[in-house]
Amino acid sequence: MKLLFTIDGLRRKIAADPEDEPTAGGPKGRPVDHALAAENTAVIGENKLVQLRVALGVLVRQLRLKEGLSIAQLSERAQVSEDELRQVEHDPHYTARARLIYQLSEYFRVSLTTLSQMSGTTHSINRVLYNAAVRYAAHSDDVSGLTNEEREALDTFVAMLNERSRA
Amino acid sequence: MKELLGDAILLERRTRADAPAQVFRTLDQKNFGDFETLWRPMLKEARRRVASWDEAAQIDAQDSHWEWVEKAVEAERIMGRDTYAVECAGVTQGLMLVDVGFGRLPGQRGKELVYIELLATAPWNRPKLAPDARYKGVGRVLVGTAISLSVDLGFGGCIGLHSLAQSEDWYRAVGFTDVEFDNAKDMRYFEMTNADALAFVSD
Amino acid sequence: MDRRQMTLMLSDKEMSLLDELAERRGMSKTALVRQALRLYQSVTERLESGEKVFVERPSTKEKTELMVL
Repeated sequence: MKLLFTIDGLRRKIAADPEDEPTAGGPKGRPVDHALAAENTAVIGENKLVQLRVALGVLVRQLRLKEGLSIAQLSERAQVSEDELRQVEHDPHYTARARLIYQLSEYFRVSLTTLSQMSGTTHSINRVLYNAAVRYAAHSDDVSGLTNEEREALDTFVAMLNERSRA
Repeated sequence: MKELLGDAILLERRTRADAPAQVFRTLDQKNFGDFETLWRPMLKEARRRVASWDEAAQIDAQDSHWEWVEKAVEAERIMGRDTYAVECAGVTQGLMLVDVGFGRLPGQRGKELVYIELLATAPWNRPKLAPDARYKGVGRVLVGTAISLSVDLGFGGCIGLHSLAQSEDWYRAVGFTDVEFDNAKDMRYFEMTNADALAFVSD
Repeated sequence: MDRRQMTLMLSDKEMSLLDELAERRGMSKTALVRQALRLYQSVTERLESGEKVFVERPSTKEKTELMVL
């Protein structure tokens, strides 16, 4: 295949082009299997949303405990507000702001799309994810440390969340 | 197998001097490695400093291009799907993934074109991310390569792509037609006609 | 890029079709055959992975399966 531009042409045109370099293409490079997605996706009703946020609260708390951090420590390291963190962990009626979800997803290396779905900032939820999240939350105890079983369940759940984001 | 397609130049932003570059088809471990060890750390660092959500979105989009590594590997097997790299000073400066698509502009509706699925430039080349940005011209070289491919495949030069918000002005300025906002992708879709494409690559 | 050669024997009808399609699609015959190959690979991959390929009549939404393995 022949490259159709010339060095001279490039030199002149690059100099005249706008300064910033372009990007093309979105974050999700994979084509979505629309039929499958539609079947398993539903608009979130209020009580489903509450269930999901309970699961989100459990997830965040357990991830924090796994690292042995207090809320104050996590808020400093992940650069989020302590109050917001507390609310995410304990109040299922609280709508976490997008930035908080983003910072937590970065800090704990959990898929942003699935965390967003769990926080209710998107309007629909995948049925499989919903079921897994509810099951996961149901098996945790509200104690200040993590048992080995809880640790294992946490790791499995996070792995599944990150796996789902590739689909 | 990675193959050298030809020579190009980039412009050193500071000195405005020529920087010899090469265009390759089919990425290899070195390109994936450069992306992972050189691009991504800088993208992560830049994200901490960004002022606006728009900018953060652009960085995220680029950073999540790690997904394309899988696609790039798959591309070797799929006909019509190709990957390209621009290298300069022994480092990957830009990457592109293309596929065959179909035109939406009235004059070329349904006609085959080269669709640029992903186009990314190393973060150190972007003035918005790095105050002392290094090279200019990666975008032009890669778009020119896509046009060359379109001609080689018998499509006459026409190409299409979806643009992130921050890059829309660039595409308009260099000759793309803004076709429409594509709801499915949440991005604007741009195309070049054969005539625009040939003008883009001519001297 | 390495190029290899193949000689293709086509009937009159097939050759006319190739000419006609190439003109309609605005491509050379070789370019058209390439795209036909690409399309064939794409459909084959989908079918082999268990997906189905349909055509739809927009006016009635009626669907017909296009190819079966």
